[in-house]
Amino acid sequence: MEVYLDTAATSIKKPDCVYKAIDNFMRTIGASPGRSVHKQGIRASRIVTDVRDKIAGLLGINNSSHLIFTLNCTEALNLAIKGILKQGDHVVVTSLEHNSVMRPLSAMIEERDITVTRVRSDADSITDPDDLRNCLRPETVLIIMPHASNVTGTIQPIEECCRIARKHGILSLVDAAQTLGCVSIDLTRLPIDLLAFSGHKCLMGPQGVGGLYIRKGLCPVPLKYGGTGSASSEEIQPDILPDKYESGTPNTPGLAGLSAALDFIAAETIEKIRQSIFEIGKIFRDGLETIKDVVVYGPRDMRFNVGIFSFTVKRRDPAEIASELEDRFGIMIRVGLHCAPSAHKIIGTFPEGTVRASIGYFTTKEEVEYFLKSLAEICND
Amino acid sequence: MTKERSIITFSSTHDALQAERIAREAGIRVRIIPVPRWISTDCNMGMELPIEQKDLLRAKLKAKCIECNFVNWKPEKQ
Ligand SMILES: Cc1ncc(COP(=O)(O)O)c(C=O)c1O
Repeated sequence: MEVYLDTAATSIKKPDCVYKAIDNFMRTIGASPGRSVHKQGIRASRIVTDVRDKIAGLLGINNSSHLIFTLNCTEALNLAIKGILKQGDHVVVTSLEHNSVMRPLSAMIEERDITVTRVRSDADSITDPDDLRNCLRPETVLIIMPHASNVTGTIQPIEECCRIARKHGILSLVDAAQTLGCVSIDLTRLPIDLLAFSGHKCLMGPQGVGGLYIRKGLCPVPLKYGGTGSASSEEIQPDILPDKYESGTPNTPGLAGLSAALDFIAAETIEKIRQSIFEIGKIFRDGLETIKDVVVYGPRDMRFNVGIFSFTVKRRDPAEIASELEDRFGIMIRVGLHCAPSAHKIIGTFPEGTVRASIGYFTTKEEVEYFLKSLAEICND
Repeated sequence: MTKERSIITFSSTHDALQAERIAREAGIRVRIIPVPRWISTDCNMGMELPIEQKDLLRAKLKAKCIECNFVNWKPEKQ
């Protein structure tokens, strides 16, 4: 038996329609969008417009031109961070940030003399909005937080935090890499200014797609220039959305796949997907608690978890557990710091890291039971 | 004699395709075309429609805040 429990890195099983849409695009369309106005060019452009409208629909945005497609969530976060921050700005982040937030920030500390304050989350990796408020300064321009931690799966109180930011005239950037597609995000209600997402994790699209929502009125500086079909007579970047931020030929096969994935999600509904992860996750989490010597991090209550479980086994190296799970039982999980060292400092697992298992919509109860049985065997040896 | 038609130009492919959808939803028959060279535009994806439907579509696009320009065109003259 082979069991994949690393959806937090990328979802490995996609809805069947995703494979078909990519194959269909490559075989029957294949042209470049946004440039040539021939039959196939128009069809390619329509694919991009349609998927943009679908993401906009999922987020509740009425003008889809404010949705920018990127290569992945990391690129979207870089665009937001490098595009917004100026010399001497102050930023507040959580202790849960992925390095796709912390590394561009570190570069901005060097290049633009920005300062960063980290709000410490609690033992379950929940960030307290009051703590965040206490970190704000007159020169704070931006708060950044993940919608859910990729180490413990903990869902953050983004609504309260973004409301605090808005009230103080501070921008908010939410890293929804682990949530868009499996947790509902309604931007008609949430006061979020920038939201970055991955297309290849819970959205179930292929790798090579992600995106950034940019609220109307915000004009981050682009990361890249050139390569748009629009404003061909000009040698400066067009000031038109989405073209301003989408330079070069996009990953249209990937976007075709993402488009099909969004149809699948719309048909299943986010509520059903969330419920499934909740139920399977509960078996997972409760099961982990019963295994001898296993220490689980993050909240036990699945209402606050997106289906990511970090644990350690007393007196055992996490890497050793991972090897045994794979070699003896064919179970694929991830081990280490998961690109978020400071999140491990909070839960006391730095620098060894944890074993991280993450589930998705296609994870079955049988797979979870097999995993629990296998882990118990390893721990009882 | 060829009938006079209306050509619409946009600032981006995104807008052109949004406009196409709006037209389709309103039952207006439009055709995506490459904008003829004699019309100056930022985006070479344009749209063509019968001139009688121009005002209706103009109002629909305005309601959706889609910026565009209408140019009348009599094919035989070009
Ligand atoms: C919280 C978080 N942010 C950002 C990323 C980066 O996403 P991507 O791989 O799409 O660049 C990930 C996952 O790798 C993540 O878990």
